[in-house]
Amino acid sequence: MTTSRDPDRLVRAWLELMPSEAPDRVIDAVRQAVETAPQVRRPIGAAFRRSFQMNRIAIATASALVVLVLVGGAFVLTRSNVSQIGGPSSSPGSSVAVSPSASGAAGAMPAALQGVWLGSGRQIPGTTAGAGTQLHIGPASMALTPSTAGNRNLMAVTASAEGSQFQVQTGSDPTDGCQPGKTGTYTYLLSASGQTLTIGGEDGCPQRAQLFGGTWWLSDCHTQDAAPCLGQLDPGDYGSQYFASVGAQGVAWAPRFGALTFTVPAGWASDADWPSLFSLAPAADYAAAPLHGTPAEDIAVYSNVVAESETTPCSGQANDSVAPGAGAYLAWLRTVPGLSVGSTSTVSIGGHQGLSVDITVPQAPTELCDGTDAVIEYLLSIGWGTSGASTGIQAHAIGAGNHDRLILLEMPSGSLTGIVITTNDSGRFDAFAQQAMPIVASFQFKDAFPAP
Amino acid sequence: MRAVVERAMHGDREAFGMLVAQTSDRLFAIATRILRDTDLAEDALQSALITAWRELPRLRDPDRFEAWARRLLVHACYAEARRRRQWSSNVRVLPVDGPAGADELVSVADRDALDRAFRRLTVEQRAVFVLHHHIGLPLVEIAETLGIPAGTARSRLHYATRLLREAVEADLEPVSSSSQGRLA
Repeated sequence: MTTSRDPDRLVRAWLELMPSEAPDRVIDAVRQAVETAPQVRRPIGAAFRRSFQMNRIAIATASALVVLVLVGGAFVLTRSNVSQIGGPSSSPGSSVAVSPSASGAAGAMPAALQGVWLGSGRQIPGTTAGAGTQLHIGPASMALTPSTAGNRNLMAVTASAEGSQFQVQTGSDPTDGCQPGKTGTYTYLLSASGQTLTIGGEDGCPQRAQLFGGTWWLSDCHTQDAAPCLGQLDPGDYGSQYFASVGAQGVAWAPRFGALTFTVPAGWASDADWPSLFSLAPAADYAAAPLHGTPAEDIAVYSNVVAESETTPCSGQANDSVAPGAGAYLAWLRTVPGLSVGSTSTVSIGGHQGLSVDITVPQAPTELCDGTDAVIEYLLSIGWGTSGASTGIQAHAIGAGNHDRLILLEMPSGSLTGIVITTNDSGRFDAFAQQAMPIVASFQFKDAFPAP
Repeated sequence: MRAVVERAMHGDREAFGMLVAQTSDRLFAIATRILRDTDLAEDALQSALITAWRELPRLRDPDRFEAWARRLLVHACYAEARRRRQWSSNVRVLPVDGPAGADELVSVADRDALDRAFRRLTVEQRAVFVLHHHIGLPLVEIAETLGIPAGTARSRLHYATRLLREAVEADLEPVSSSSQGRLA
């Protein structure tokens, strides 16, 4: 007997089989998180356009950072060395103090301050030695958290603002090492862009002044979900929060503030800071990139780079037949079908020797990556840790019309760090490379882990 | 709803709680269908709603709150799916011996065939398929929601629909009732 069922109806009925009621525990968890999570500020005059760039397929996820286990330790910092790295060179004349009236509530912390700020490590028990710190400012509170656990308060105080000052007060259950009710008064200076916050002041509890004082950079990453990249940058010197390029394979990754340092002129943004990927983009391209998108042009730095297996397009697997070293990698790269690889140049960046080539794709690949994208994946960053899983895997791909410059640096641990200067418009490559190379030349790589 | 969204945009947590209550079931239904895994769907929903709270001041049109939240959710689903793909070699397979389900139309064998076919789709293809067939969104709106060209949405839907139809049709080849015991 022949069946006579409608396949489309079957498929729709099958779709309805999954549950449709959100569990209470999820709703409760959201409500609890919202109680302590500040909202980001509305960007002023931010441009918006869709971008459909496909030249980097990011495989890692935001969840990687929040599940990492923190190890105990403390890193003693004084006020003077708090600002050693990352002090943007904006002069006081280019900064503004923001009136608390911007928040719409008298005494509330100014709206321009409310959000998550990233800074260098502070001496707080429970933080990883050398790791950065997050400062969460809400309407009436301030809290410090580890750089990898934004929902775990290490220290919290109530806060209120008046003019260009704010006051903090220890609660009845102190978490800041101060006596209950102890107050401190701070002045703050916000850069004209609103991206850099400098805090200083007097506090009846001196250790608290060391924790709050110094320079903080707004975590303003609009291209990633809950990922703490900085977004738009003031001109100056900066340090990465999470990226690591020097470390022993097989040793669990741990964050170290400033494992990559760099200098940017005006008009740049940071759009990714992961253990295995750090990225900088022109501010306009960053502003135009959608959520989960990548800018049309950027400088991407990948740690622990290996050749990718070509058994299937975008296999996501390391190619174990390629010998270690930049030379062997480039020799393999020249065999990848569809890639046009230019002549090899020698380079030295941050004291590390390496090789550089330009890469294009003359014709769109016929085999699709992941079944959807006409690109060729040629670089795999296998991350850190015993399996690489704890810090995610990144892959870089190129499509027709794109132009990449790949710089492979030999790191002391024997691994390769890959720097890719990439644009979706090959006609713009020379101009973009001219902008990008001075920033690349400023890169300095430091030992990331084991912690110093 | 617009007034509630505007209150939440200005930091009113109670208003945001009302938005969560109003939309969470619909969002969860999308996540479970894209991911075919309730644990991952719960993580995706939680991540999307917390992101929604943080990013709410950036919402340009309060009337578009739910569409915007859907977009955050789908991207959270992408992240969860890729986390599973990278970090787990043991993909949890949904049981195929449960109750027959919606109007008892879908047999155990159908479910098995469809589940297997669905797992062969990329998460991007699944998202387009679910938004179209479960929510009933037109392709243009799907493209806008996901931030992809309409042509890409169309091709993903076409591929997904064809694959699932083939999975069912392979199961619908003329068979004898005695050999399969499964009649329309």
